[in-house]
Amino acid sequence: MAFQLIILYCFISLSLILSFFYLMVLLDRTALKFKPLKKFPEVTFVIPAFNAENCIEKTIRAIFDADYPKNKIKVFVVNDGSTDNTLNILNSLKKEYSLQIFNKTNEGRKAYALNYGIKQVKTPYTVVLDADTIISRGLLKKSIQRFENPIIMAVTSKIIPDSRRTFFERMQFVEYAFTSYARDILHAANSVQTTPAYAAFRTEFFRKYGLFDADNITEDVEMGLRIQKYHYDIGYVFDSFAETAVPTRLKDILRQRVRWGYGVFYNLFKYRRLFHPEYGDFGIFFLPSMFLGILVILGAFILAGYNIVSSSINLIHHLSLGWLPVFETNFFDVIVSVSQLKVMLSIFIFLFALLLFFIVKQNTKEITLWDYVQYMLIYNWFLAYFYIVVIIKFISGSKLKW
Amino acid sequence: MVKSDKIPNGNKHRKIRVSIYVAVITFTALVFILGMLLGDYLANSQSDELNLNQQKLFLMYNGLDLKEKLLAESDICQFNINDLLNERAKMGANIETLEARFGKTDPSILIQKEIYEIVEIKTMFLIKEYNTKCNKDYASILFFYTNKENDIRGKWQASEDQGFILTALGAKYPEKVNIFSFDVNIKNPATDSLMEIYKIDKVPALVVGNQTYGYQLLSELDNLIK
Repeated sequence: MAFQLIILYCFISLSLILSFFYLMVLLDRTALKFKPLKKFPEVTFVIPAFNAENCIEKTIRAIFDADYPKNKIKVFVVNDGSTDNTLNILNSLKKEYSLQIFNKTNEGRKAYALNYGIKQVKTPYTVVLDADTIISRGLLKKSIQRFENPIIMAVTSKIIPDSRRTFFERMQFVEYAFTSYARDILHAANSVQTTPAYAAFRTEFFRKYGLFDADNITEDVEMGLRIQKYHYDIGYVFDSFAETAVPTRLKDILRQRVRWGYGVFYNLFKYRRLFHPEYGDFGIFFLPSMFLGILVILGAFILAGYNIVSSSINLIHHLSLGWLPVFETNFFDVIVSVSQLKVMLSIFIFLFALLLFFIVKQNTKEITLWDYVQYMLIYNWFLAYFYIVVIIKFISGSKLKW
Repeated sequence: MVKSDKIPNGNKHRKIRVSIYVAVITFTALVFILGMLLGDYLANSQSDELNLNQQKLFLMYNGLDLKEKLLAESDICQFNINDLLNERAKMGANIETLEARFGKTDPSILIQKEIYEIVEIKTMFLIKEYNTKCNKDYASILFFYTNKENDIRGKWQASEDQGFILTALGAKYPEKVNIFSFDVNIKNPATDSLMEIYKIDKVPALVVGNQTYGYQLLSELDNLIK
């Protein structure tokens, strides 16, 4: 019991430290101001497309709807061996827009298609975009503005699911909203460590430091860490967004998350030398916090799971004796229970979680308290399960498919 | 310094914001301190409640004494014994709550239990008298248990299980059955005497109608009180 309490207090301390740190960086940051673009540089979008007949048209139309001169936008779509109607759709769009289509055979990983397209880019900026990701009108302009800072090599943005109909879509919406907000804070500490579904790059970075690592299961995390390795920075657009398709079935979410989780572990191990004071807060806090955050989720849910199982076994045993629970409580019982430190700390964490919700809601108004409650009470169990699978696979050295 | 990595851009933008680390550790420590202080404050308010509880028990104890003296000269059947039984049950529940919060070995809880057990014995005698004089059939069950993990007189888990069975029995016959619980490790002359009278050397033990029994299932107890 005492051992359980010590473990519990360790996890509570860890979660408080992580949360306070993010909050402090948030409070400490200075508002960024960007000068309006005097001239609009040329930008090439590189879109790998594999069987993207359902989304590719919307994706391309959104690019040309962007608040950016159309003659400065080039779009390279790498048709990665699609077997559906993707190529036909692309050919019809080509009549309307300045679009270049490259056909290649599928080699199993998105990075091959990305690299294929990036090699053809002649413009100073390259935007890497998933075929199912739709950019909002102002995103491109704001991304290019961020390059005003010479150490910025890539710019990413708030990314949200394009649909909120099903339970898993709504849960991922909450998850993406929180992740996006965390990334915004990370940006204030020069510590963004990934370039996800939408990312603009200085093309020179690819020429100087290489293309995407096609052997890497999460090439976007690898690229993010590579940028950090050379002491460059990843910018972040918080006031514009890209919408992306998210998996809706549990087994697809599991597959995606296991790949992400595995990729994060793999890349953190690969770039373990970045865990160093030379990398400032990024090296000594934010990188370790990627591990510690997972540890907190896992620990909290293993403890909660243990308590639920042991309480259930006790309850079943007592019910088998003929005892029936009485659902009545009084003021005396409530005050006595609340006076325990673990309960006091839980109340504090609950209030803190509520505060975080309202902070994030400022930026993403669409998230609801009810979805957040479900996220905390239900969806987090899935996340803990995903991490357990990742850890087992990572330790056992299982190979993952892209 | 990561020597093998070329730093083309320099790392001047990299900062270790010591003030944030200090603030974060301070805030975390403050949350714990605040939690402990607030918890202590509430626990102290419970301690006051506990003292009040104790005073109530004393009053109840004295009231029982007076009642006995008064009732010897008046008709006991005119009194509503149920209020008294309910009050006793509430006290018992409160002690159980405090026991769960402060631990089974907390000295103030042990004193509470000692006094409470004397009250129980008093109540037990009152019920006996009430049954005889007023032709009632309130059943009394004496329950001897242990909280000690390695008690040579019996396993505490069995005592705990018996407690749950008795709670179930009490819930089944709220108006009829009165359970009086005695911790065999409380050094109380009155409890010791009861243990001697009923020859209690193993726990859990139950006394129903002057007969001593070991661990009983709900169905067995059902039959015993009928």
